[in-house]
Amino acid sequence: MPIALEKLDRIAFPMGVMDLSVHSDGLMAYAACMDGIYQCALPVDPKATDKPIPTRIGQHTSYVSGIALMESNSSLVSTSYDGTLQIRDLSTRLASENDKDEAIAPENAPVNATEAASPKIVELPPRFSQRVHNFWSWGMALSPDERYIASVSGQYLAGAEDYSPLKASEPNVKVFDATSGKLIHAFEMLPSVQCVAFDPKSQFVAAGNLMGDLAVWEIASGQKLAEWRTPDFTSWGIIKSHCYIGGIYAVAFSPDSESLYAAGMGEMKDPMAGNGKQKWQRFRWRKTPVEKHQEIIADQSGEGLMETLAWTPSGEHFVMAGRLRGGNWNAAVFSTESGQLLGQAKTGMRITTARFSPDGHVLYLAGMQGQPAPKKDSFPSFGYLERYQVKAT
Amino acid sequence: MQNNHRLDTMLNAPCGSVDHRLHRRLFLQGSLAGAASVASFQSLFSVPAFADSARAQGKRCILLWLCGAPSQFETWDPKPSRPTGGPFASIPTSIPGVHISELMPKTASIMDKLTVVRSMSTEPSEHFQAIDMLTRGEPPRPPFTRPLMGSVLAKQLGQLDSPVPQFVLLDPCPEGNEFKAFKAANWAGWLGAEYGPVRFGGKYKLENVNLPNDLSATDHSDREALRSFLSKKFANDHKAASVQSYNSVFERVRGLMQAAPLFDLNALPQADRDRYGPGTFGMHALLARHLVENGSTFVMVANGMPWDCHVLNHETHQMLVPETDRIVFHLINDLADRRMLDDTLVLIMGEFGRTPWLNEARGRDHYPKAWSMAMAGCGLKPGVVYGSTDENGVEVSDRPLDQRRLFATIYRALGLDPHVTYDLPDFPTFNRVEKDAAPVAELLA
Repeated sequence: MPIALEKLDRIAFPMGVMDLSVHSDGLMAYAACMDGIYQCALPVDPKATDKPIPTRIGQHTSYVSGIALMESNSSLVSTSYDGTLQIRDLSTRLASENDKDEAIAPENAPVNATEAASPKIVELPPRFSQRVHNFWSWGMALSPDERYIASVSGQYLAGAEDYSPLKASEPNVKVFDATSGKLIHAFEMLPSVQCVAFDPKSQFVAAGNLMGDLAVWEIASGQKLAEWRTPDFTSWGIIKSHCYIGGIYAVAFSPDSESLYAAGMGEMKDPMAGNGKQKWQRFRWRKTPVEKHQEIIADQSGEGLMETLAWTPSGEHFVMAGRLRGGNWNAAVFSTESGQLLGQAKTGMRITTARFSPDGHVLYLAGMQGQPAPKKDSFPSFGYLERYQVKAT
Repeated sequence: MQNNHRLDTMLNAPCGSVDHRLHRRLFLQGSLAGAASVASFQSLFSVPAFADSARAQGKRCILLWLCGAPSQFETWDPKPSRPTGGPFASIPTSIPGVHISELMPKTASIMDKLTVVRSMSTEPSEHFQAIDMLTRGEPPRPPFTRPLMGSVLAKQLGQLDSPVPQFVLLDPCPEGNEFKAFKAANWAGWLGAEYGPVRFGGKYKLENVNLPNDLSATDHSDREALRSFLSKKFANDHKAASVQSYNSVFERVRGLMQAAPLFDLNALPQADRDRYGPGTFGMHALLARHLVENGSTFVMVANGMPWDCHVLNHETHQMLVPETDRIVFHLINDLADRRMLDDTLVLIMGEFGRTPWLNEARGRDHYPKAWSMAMAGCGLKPGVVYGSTDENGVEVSDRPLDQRRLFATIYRALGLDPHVTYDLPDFPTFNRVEKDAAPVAELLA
């Protein structure tokens, strides 16, 4: 059955949105942005003329790459390219706007992109802050039962004459207790590990990397249950350079936890154009050897890096989204059963995160356009959250 | 072996004279066929002998060509905490108050040996035009072809009678879009093909430089004497200028036969290869050091054009910059340890910089308006950071430097008059650097 994605509204953030978490009541969104952590009240009526102004509630010392709301204890988890994990207690009274001048940002924290516009800044200090990686946290996931946080890292350094990656100097897939921040597991994978996900039952964690490696671990035992490589997401730049580029940028388990999906883009003709095919692949990860079960149908795919996967609560459909380099869509709804494309949207921005509302009727897409050149000494906003009505037609 | 394109360029000189066409066939039958069968002189010429000669030679230059154009924000001119700054922090260097990208910790420790320009400002914003200008010093003026800096230095500082190639291009990538087109161009221009580069790396290998088993060195020597005699007689009888060019190329082929062991990467000490490698760029930078130690005048090291990060800029710079950091650190230190840095100019640059703002594909695009490059060694004042950009890196805020003044500074550092006029009959007047552009005194020792 075809699905229509009807755009409801768009909310601007000063800089790019790299990850998003939305409260189950649909009234509050939390965004991991290049310049900090933002909280934004979402209007009940998308047609309201007064657009909400996001409030920056904290910062890391680099881009914030991951964010997750723990509704059970009203906490907000964030990770960053500075390698730190922070946990904020949202029940703590936010510093009032009068405290703005006294709010202390971390040293070297990014300056807001729109200083002239001066968005609201209400500092909410973290109750937990720890450096958990020596390099970026590329991505972070919160287990559905809200017991675990997983963060992935790893710097791509030349490890051989052909520029295949150097082995990691530290474990780069880490699982933490979501409440205390205590490290539970530390796994190793070839850098750079670019995405991570828990399964719906919070039993497994999976990660994917630059080279197309995928792995699944059992959380209870810490045992690696499967590892395999798909060569279809990684380019070795024959045209311009002899190095690796691309890889897997999103992983997600199927609703029954039996399949693992990977997303990214196919081999690029020109690595510097980003013109690989929009791509997802589905693997039966419990099979030995792991079996590729499905992948995007070739003629339904355009070009561009895909960065996010999300399931409708019913499990019938999933969304893959990212950047549009060529083609008709950069967010598309697929049938879980057949893999057929059922609906699509062309958003005009690179999408980093897709999330569904609990009833599956609203799709949240967050990301960014290209950063504009400054105008009158300030940089226009370029981060966005868009809401879409999901309709069966 | 010298590439065929260069030979073709030489043999098909723009004048199109009957003289050139007449001798092409003879030349091919003679020198190239000869080159395929000539002897290996490896046993007659040792590497130490080259090195002794090189030490007496004087000045030389290594160009680490960061083709595609690196981001100044992720290298020499970080803007931490600014909207344009990107995700990487900056770190202090051995020059008090000067910070560079955290991706360059080794180089930060030897900044007092480097000379960094943070205020490069040029015009071409497309690769081919910018590569051409930043390697020749001037935009094109058809139909005249200005020689590359490497060709100028090979002529002015090199020893043409040396068996070691004076101008070497090390680059493993056969492709490279605009860089590929540039590599197929006429490099030596009006100086003549003998000042063009010997290419090595990737598919470019020194082939046909070994003596067949059934040909003794004595026989080979006899054949060369006969070839030389016939060439001289031909030249005298026909008064053909082209013969001199052909003989120059033949001499280079012979030189390559003798110098071939210098290009054997596997013969370089494993400890050195471990320090510079494992990537090809590092291995070729090590080879560049080895070549200038043994008599080459100008070695250009490139690795395709990986720096052209319109897509995934930070994700690619996280690998490329640390590799360059390691290479620069070891190269500068090695040259200093060998007491060669005073006579060897090291240039570290691309053709322009990258935009302060990120595009939608996580990339930075071309930006010639305000960018950075670095130098070290011969004739330069170490520990200098010249010029600056504004807080977001959008504009040059202090002492902008264009390619003419950069070239004037480079030539002056190498002891050459930047403003000398070329002696080119029937050509317009050309100078080594045009418009009387002045060298930057603050950069010169």
